[in-house]
Parts: sequence; C-alpha cells; structure tokens
Amino acid sequence: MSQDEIKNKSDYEIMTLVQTDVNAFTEIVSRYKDKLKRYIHRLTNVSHEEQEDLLQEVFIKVYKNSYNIDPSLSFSAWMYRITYNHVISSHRKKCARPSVISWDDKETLLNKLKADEDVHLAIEKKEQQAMIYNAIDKLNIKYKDIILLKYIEEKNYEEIADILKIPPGTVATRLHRAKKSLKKYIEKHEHHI
Amino acid sequence: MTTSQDIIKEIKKEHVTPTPAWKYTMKEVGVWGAWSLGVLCLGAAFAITFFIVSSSDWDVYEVFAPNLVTFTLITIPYVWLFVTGGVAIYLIFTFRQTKRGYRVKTVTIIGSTIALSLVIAGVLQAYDIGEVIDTRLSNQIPQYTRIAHTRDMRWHNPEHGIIAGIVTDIPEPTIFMITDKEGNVWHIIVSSTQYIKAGKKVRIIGSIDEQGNIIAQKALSWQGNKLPAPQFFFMHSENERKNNALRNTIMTGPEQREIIYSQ
Repeated sequence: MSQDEIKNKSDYEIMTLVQTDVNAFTEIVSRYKDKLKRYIHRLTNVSHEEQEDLLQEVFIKVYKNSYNIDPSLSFSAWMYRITYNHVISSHRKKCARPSVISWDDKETLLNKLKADEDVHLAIEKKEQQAMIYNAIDKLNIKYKDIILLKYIEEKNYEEIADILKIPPGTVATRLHRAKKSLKKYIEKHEHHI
Repeated sequence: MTTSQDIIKEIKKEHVTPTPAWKYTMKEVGVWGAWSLGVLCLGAAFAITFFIVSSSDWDVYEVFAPNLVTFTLITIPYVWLFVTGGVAIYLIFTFRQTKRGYRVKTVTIIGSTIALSLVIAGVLQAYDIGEVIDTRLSNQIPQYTRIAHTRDMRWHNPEHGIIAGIVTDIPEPTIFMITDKEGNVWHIIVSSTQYIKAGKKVRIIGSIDEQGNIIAQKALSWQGNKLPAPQFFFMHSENERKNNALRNTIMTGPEQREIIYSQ
C-alpha cells in the first residue's frame, strides 16, 4: 500500500495494517511524534536526549501493543496512556518524578484558569502571577497530571479517565480538589502582596 | 530529533514484533477467572457466616447476654468477617485489572460483587454447603473451631450449669449422659428423657450439684431454631421439592426443635 493511501486511513485502520507491515507505522509516528514529545517534556524534566529515548521507547511499546488496541477508547487516549505509563515507570526505576510545568505552559494554564468559573482568578499585578505559578508548582503530582491533561493537552474527562486508568468521577473530583487547592493557596498568600 | 525512519530502523534492528493477540486474550480470561474464583469464595464465606449466625443460640440468648444487641455482637463470626473483607479487597483489585475495570466506581464494584456473592451464598445455603464447609473445617483444623466457633466455648461452662455434648447413653428414665467437646462425661438429671436420643448433640442449661451432676432446667437441640434454607426457582423438580419439604420438617420437627426438655 502506498504512503498516500495510508495517509487517508484512520489511526485504527493503520494500526491494523501495522500488525503485518511495520512500514505503515511511520504514519502513526509522524501523526503523534510532536504531541507525545511535548507531553513527555511536560511530564518530566530529563535532558533532551533522554526525552528522545523515551519517545522512541514509547513508539516501540505502541508497536508491540498493536494487537491490544481497544476500539472503544479514543486512539489518542490509548497513545497518551502508554506514554504516561512508560514515563512514570522509567522514572520510578531511577527516582521520583520531578515537578515540571514549564513557563510557557504556566502562561497557557494561567489564561485557562482565569477563564474558569470555579477559580475566579483576578490577576492584576505581576506578583500575583508569580504567586499563582508558585501555587501550581506546589500542587500534588496527581493533581498536576490532571491539570496538565485538562488545560494543556485539552483532553476531556473521558479521555483523561482512559489515559490515567481511573473512573471519570475521580477525574472530576481530582480536578475540583486541584482548583480548590490552588484557590486556598492564593487566598492564604494574597495578603503578602 | 527522532524521525519516523529511526524508529522503524530500531524496530527492525531489535527484531521487535507485536505481542500476539492470544496473549492479551489469555490475560483477560485469567483476570476474569481470578475474579470469578474470588466471587465464589466470597459467596462461600457469606454462606458459612449465615450458617454460623443462623444456627446460634437466639432461642436462649438471655443466658449469655443482657440483651439481643450484645448477643449479636458476640455471635458474629469475626474471622469470617475478616476473610470477606480480605476477599472483597482482592476482588476490587482484580476487577480493576480487567480491560475496562478502571472505569467502574469502587462503590459499584463493591455493591455488585456483594450482591452477586449473596446470590451465590443463597444457592450454597440452599444446598447446606455453608454447613458442610464449616463442619469440614471444624473437623480438620482444630484452631478453626477455637477462632470461628465461639458458640462451642459458650456452651462449655459446667460451673454455671451450661454444657453441650453428644448424648452417649440414657441409663435411667431420668438420667442421660453426654460427652462434651473436651471428652468429659456428664450425668444430666431430668424428670423425663422421653425426647432425648442417643447420638444427638444437645445444649443443657441448669446447675451443677455437689456430686458434679448437672440438674437440667432446659435441654435443647444443638441446632436450635435454625432458619430454613432459601428456596430457588430452579429447585422446582418434584423430588427436590419433596426432599426440601422433608428436610424442613426434620429441622422444625419437635424432636430437634426448641426445647426438648424443660423443667
């Protein structure tokens, strides 16, 4: 099958082809390489080279699991799940996962939180912005994972549930608690500004 | 920068192949099998608990406790409660390992598992399996009797005229002999041994005299007012109905039910 024909196929159709023809996998790699690389970067602050290694290992894992795709899940959620699990397990072997939400992501996150009715952020001064960044840094890792997927990766509750393998209700609870925790931190430190 | 070609090259170089579909199927079957086995164990634990609780001394609870609540608390077989708790945790964990198990709320898993186990327990109880397992455990594991059968201990208080044992002999119209769980032989004095039968296990409430005989105020069958086993729609064959009717008659018959002898 030509590369042009493959390009017109859905992710699932390509993965079925991959089971017998490894070359079809190039299309999956090109479709998800950048997204997954960014996600890996957001999950961990290891060196650029290590991130590249992780990305390669993730794709090899995806290839190995090509018979294990669940058509009831979104393909993207399935890819993110493999990535998340691989990054977490590789860090577990070495050390605890460091907290990383980059400055660029923090800005995006801040804008999204400002628009969120639950949080009601009124950022007028630069100091307030810095304090909120600080609050994000101090969040528990399980809340950060949810915030990252919801606001930066823009996944919906169902997809987050599929990626993290937790019930959708737990996603909602954790997100609510994360926002509450942010709000509490901000209220506590506001008078210092 | 990793390119698509680099990854394909690596896959070919390392001779990586997709894991065959049957391995995933086997894993899923294995997880569901482990879960089903757990549900069966939970059902059996419920059936045994039900048997122990239902065959307790509800007919004379006031002898052992000041009120029904206290008696209920001393009757509950805590060892089986721990077992059911442990199996329930195992079942939640196992269910979470199934392909879509993570999507189900813990409370839903617990609720549905308990409901299913109770149905299994009902079926087992209908065939007296709870009693059979409990009796086998008692016969084969002496420690089991000590931890799960507080009832036996309760009925071993001869100083206060409370004793249980198997009727071994009825030498006189007003005396019969029983052997207790420790092998001691007791002479029980009653006004009539009309309903006492050799080989039956009985409970005696009375007082001990100076010679060490027990003067019975009440002699009760060991089974007490055991609740009848549940009946299910699939037990409708004529023979089964007859057998169940017969068994219930025996269980509720005057010779085994309530007070055999009362002063």
